[in-house]
Amino acid sequence: MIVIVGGGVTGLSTAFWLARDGHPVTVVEKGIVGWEASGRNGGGCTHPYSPLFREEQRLWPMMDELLGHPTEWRPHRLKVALDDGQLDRLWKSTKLATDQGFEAVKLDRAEMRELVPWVGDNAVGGIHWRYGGHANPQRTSQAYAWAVERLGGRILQHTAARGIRTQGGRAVAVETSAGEIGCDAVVIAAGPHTAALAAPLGHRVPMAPARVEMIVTEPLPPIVMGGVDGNGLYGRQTLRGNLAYGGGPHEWIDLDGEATPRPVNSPVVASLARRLNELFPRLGHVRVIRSWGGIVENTPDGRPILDRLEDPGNVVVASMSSVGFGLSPATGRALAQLVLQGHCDFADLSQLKLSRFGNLPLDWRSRQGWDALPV
Amino acid sequence: MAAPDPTSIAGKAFPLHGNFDHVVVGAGEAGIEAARAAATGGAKTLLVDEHPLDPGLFGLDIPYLFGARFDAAILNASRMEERIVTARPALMAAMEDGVEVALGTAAWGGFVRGQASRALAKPLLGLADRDAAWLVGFDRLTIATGARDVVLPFPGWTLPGVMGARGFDAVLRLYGAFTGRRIAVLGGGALADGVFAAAREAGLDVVARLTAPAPLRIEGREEVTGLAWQDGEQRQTVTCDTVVMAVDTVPMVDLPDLLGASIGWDAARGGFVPAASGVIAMVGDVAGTVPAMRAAWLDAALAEDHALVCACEDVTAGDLRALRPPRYLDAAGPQAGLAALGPLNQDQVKRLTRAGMGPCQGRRCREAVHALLSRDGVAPLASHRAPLRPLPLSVLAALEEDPTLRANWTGWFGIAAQWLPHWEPAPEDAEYIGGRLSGEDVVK
Repeated sequence: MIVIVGGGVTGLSTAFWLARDGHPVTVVEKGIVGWEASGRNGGGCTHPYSPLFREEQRLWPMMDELLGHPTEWRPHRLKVALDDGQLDRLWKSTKLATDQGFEAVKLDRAEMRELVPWVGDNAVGGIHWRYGGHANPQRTSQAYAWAVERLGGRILQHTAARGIRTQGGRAVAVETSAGEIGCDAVVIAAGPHTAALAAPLGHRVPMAPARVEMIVTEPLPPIVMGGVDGNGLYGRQTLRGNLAYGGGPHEWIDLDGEATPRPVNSPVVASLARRLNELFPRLGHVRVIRSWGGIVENTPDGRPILDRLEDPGNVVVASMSSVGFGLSPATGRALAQLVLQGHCDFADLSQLKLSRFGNLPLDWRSRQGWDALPV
Repeated sequence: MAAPDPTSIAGKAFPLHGNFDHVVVGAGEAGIEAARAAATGGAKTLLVDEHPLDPGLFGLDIPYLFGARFDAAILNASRMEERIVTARPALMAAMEDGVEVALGTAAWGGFVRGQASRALAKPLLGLADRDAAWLVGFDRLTIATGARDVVLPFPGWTLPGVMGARGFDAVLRLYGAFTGRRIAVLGGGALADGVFAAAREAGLDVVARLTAPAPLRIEGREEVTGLAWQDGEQRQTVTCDTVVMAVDTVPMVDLPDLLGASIGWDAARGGFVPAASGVIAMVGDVAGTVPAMRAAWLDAALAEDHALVCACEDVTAGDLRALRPPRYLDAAGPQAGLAALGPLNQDQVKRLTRAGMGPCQGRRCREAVHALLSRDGVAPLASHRAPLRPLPLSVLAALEEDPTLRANWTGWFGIAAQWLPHWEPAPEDAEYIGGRLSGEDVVK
């Protein structure tokens, strides 16, 4: 039995790939699957700085079929620049993908407007990424969960993991609010709670939780390629037609035990509306109908930890450092390989080991200015 | 100890347009009374009310089910403001007591300190009129937002001419803009009595009143032309231009929820009702209403799978039971339907079926969906999120922004190494390319 602690996209995808290979899996989730940051994010599937990028791009077109439920995945991204500085930055991040053989096309304002009628005279143009894409986070999270169950895996919702019992250098059971579950291997993919679960095993997993937020407008008629953003915003037009965008200041927080704090919004929602209105000046009349918050975690360098521990040797630790949704098809497959064979045979994860933080000072959060403000 | 992360919310100010000892939201009887008491006691007091509404909200049935039975007078804000002051003479007395009164001003946001919200210097309320949004600070807040209509998804309910009791009352008595003549009323309690009396007083014909749940259909093609129902073995019909659903109202707990108030289910007090806490008080109908036969009426309306529950997103009772994805996906739900989910949660069902996810912000279907999900136990309250009224981008964009916030804006966290190849060691000093920073680049 492989027990996966955390029913977010990373854990669910890991469970999916393991179950698909015929391994018995149990996912332990303290609330509802995909309920935290996994189900509420920008839905982006474009991460060229990740060693899992190529696999991310390979897998997304197959996910609906693999999971048996629609993920709303759509290919390609459009990046709009409102000035030359923005365009320059966009090309810098584009180069990461084109260096790997992916294609990007420069668009002038008129060409961009052909694709995105909302773009105004303030745009200088942009880039069409003929790679990447976007999907619906909640639908995808749920699709993983149902796929796991269809393949014979077990998902325990409303069940909190309390600890991992070890014996002779191996994890033998996961202690939960519903009793112990015996295990042959464990994956800790519990988002910001990962650190607290790994600590009793003698491992410090440095991470700082933070709150981030997004806004959503009423639906508009769908444009040909909804994965359009820029101006310091990430997001997309959903298949239904809503504009869902985030960005701007995050708030570093502390956790309060095993609960995840209520992800409230702040007046930053108005700043998001302002920047969205700058990006699409023709849409000033469009109504914002909702906002979201979510709690994510970041490691000190903002990069994932995907590592199988040496002791206990059958425990894998996974944090995607605030960028987990889009990569999840590939991450889950990589983690399944870490569980089964100790290494990933399709991506170089050598820089994503926990040991890179071995010399990290204890007060690293303070040194980085990442302390939570007092309540 | 380094300076706080400049791309975080730490150190960012939220400029206020006013700071009040006491803010009261909702200028009905209870709200006016609370505001007068506060001002008389020496508190600097602001009383806001969203009426006269942004005309766009009438069409969205926010906050009440208006059913398009109003004339163009509602477009004239200053005339509507006069009518509101005439309809509520105590407003004048409140002003004389020193209350600052802001009509046509909606409370769309409430922001208080909490575990995940530590940056606020003090509790804030987000307000907006038709043109702009702004923030005010408060020491005490009284929520007197009243109750809104419970919509019964009987066939034909989306036709122009189908109203809620609160929508009918507002259009008739507050705005003086009601355009119907012949009215059928659904409901057997005090709410329906009130509708009946107000209609008679206005010289309207009340052609039918259904006091108990029955299979019924609202008839009409372009708008309401009649009502048909089953009375024992007999099918009854009447000709009418308006159907008023006056079975029940529900406390408007959106603002209390946003502010983190404890909200519990109490069927005898109108459903989910909020508890006062700390500096936040609830007065009037928002604190609880009287028992009504809502459950039986909703059961009758939801009996058929083809009952259209969420009109914004085109979700039927059958779609909900089957947990069917929205039609544009042309896909089936899980074989087990709702049972595939475990304990039912309205927010989760919303995200999967889109019921309650549309521009009316779930006001027209919230109670019906909740009833449908509560067969085996009361489902938890579906969350409310800002903005509590759908605000145009341009209105929210007009909120005054701290220049420091803008100057330090990042697309995502501003951690430079996050955006560079993860198969190479993280560089000590790198340029942030993860998103656009306004003005000077503060993250290197």
